[in-house]
Amino acid sequence: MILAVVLIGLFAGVLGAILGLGGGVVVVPALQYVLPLFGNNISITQAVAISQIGVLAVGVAGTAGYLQKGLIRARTGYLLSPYTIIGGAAGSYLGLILPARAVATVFAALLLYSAYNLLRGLKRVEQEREPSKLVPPAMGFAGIMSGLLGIGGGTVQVPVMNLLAGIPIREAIATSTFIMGLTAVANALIYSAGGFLDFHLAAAVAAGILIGARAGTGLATRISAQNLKLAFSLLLIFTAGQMLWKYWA
Amino acid sequence: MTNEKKSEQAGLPDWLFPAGFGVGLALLVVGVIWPAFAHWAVYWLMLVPVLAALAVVIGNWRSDRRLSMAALLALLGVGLVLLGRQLLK
Repeated sequence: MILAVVLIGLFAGVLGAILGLGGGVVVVPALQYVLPLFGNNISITQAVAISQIGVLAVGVAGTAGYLQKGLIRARTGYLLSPYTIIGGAAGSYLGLILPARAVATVFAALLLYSAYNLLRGLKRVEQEREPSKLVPPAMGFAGIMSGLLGIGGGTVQVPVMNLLAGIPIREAIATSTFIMGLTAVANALIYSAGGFLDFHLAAAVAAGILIGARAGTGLATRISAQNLKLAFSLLLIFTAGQMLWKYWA
Repeated sequence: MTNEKKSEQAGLPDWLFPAGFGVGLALLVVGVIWPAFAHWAVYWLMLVPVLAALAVVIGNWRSDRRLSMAALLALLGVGLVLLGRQLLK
């Protein structure tokens, strides 16, 4: 079973490196569908808890790489991180108290939104500009989503930093990865206190993600991202449907 | 490196995250093979961003108080969660 969990992490890491989307969006549903095959029924809350460690691993590994390239705006990151940490703590607490059906429904909506963004292409701004006053609440919202769903920054935080904070897209991606490290620490502590964090499975997912992310960087030049986007979008739509069916039917 | 770029790097130690990544990966592999060590690997990963924030708080206290306070606030947030989680147990 543990090998299957490492493979889930590998898959998430490779996709993350090629598409910029592959943390919680892959890990949470995959754990829920793969682990029962080995007789281990895992709840969505447990899967989100494990995914927080995956996000943390991406945060540490990503920051190491992006710092060398000078892409991280650490100052901006620290000034924004209190909002994501407060939001993340609130989201994690919600994750502990909300019924699994509610969390699964929000997650399914996130999967559909991610699929839409992959197919349509994310709106982005390359020109630096003054940040909007909506940045603090929007970062708080990004934190809530990360705490509740075990996702990294790609889906909510990067668009906020790029479109509202006016940070160029490459630096927004790097800075978001950097911020998510500290946010995921607080989120993981809450899930761990709630008794939902399985350290062994979390270590397996994180190890897989770290190795997968390295391998994915090399594969990115050899695989057609366009075909992969289409296939992964269809997979996300299918997974969202299955998740809704599982919790509502 | 320009001053603006330097200020945006916030005095983060260059070696911290690469070292955190290397040691973290080794510990995670050990944790996967021997589950009794898994929690040490996870705690190590948690420690890396905390140590980085601490370095920024101390390193910028005199030169950039706003940045230092923001990093301190982030650390306090994590600290509060650490204390508050006792209530969830």
